[in-house]
Amino acid sequence: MRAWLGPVRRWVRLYTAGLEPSVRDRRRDEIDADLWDQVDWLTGNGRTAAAITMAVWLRWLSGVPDDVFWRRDQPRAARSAPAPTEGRRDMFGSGSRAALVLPVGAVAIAIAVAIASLVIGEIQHQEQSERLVSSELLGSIHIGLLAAGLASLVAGFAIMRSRPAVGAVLAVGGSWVAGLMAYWLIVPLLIAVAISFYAMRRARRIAAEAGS
Amino acid sequence: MRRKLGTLIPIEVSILDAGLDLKRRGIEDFHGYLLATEIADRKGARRLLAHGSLYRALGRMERGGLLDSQWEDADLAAAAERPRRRLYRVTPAGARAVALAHAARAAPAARPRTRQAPA
Repeated sequence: MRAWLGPVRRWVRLYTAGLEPSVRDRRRDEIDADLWDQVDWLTGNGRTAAAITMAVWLRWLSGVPDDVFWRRDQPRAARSAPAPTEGRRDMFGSGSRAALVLPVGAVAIAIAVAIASLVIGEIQHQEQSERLVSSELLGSIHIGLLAAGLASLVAGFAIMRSRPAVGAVLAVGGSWVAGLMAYWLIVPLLIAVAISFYAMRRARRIAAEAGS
Repeated sequence: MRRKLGTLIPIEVSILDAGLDLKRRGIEDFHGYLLATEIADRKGARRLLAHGSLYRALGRMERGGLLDSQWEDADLAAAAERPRRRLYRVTPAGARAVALAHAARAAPAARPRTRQAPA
């Protein structure tokens, strides 16, 4: 297989990792055969390596959201199989108190970073001219809030198994705080929307599984 | 958003149409790449259906009984020095479903327009 197929195959390996072997191997083999056919056809039609790379990558990248949704659907399709998240729950602790250690710690660190950024900004404010400081202070607030948002996002997903509602709130809030730090760009906001949607769906599913 | 049970979405209609077209031309079993090229040709599109979209739809349709699939003979693939392909085939249920989808789409257009008589 040509080198330009490497990223595509790595991506397929990534999103099929941890699945039931029959499902995983079928998907991997099927896409492998498809890639081979596409490259063979393009090569046979005299396309250059750059054109082949572009065609394969465009096709791959435009299907990434569907790959993610396909992966998301897999546990639902094989409910009889043991839950793959058991190990993760052990990692974070199954008790509610233990489960809270990570998010609380992460948020505390984020708040500390934010406060430290503000204090440093304020000291600089006193030492330097006002014109310079206002932008420094703004930058510090930005970095602090971005760190807090990302920490909250990670913490939200970490505790979602044991506390779906709290996890969803932390993940949604964190994604929006982080996304709004670059409010002039559309991509971070779109990512925040996608994460919020995913977090709420996941929390609802976990809650439904726990209730059944 | 959940779609109505039993209805086909555009990609599924395209897949079934292309599959039935291939069957009419003597190709009963088709693989993913052939299907993607066939759909692109029918639509006059330059780009092929993405792997993610295509195989996600194929899997869903197979679970729904619209398609059937099996691995091709390993010896055949080995002789051609390429990976083994997964071969799909439109089931009778798939053919019925796409015929119904076309009929449903044609129905509103075929309905005669009624004009109110002048008072």
